[in-house]
Amino acid sequence: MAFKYENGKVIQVSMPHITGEDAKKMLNAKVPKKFVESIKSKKFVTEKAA
Amino acid sequence: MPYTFTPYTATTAKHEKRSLLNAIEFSDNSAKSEREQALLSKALSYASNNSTQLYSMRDTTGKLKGILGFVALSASEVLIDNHKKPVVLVDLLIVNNKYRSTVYEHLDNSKISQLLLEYAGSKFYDVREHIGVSYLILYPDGGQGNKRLVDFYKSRGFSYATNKHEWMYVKL
Repeated sequence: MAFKYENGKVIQVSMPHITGEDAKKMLNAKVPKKFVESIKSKKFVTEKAA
Repeated sequence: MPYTFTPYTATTAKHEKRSLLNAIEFSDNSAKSEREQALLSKALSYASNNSTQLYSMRDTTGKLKGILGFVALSASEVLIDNHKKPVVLVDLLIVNNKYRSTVYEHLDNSKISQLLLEYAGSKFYDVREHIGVSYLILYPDGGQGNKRLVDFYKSRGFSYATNKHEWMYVKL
């Protein structure tokens, strides 16, 4: 589930169906090293649920 | 760490909805502010029935007061050709208007948006320790018209899934 705001209302957006060249591209996508390194270099602290 | 994240239970999301909606400042632009409030309100509604998990971020050094931003995550799947791929979906990512567009030296030299997105990435890896997930995906608010936002996601490695320029993904 995801939302978008359109004409003053929040609408639920359907999940995508990716086909053809887009599908090939997505299946063969590379993992972005810089983003992953940035995530893994930090120790995120999650508190107890409020 | 100079910052922490707090998950909200469904009960808190339900009973504290009003105070959480008032916990951050929205855009100075009235139309954008209305949109942001509506999206956060919807995320809180979904969080109140466990359809998304909402987290807030705070500065533990006390330099920045209150909630710095929210991120909401859920599990979903996309269909790639005929293959169902499990994904972690970023339902919402919003930064308190007071703290937007600023790099904070004491917060890992980062913007709040960057830390919220990286936190979403860290949760992706937490999920992957227990169940299979392939991609982190999102639907940028405002679509391709919101170039600044789209450029931010692209700079973190996200790509558009199709030439409709709606969904963006990153393979992790």
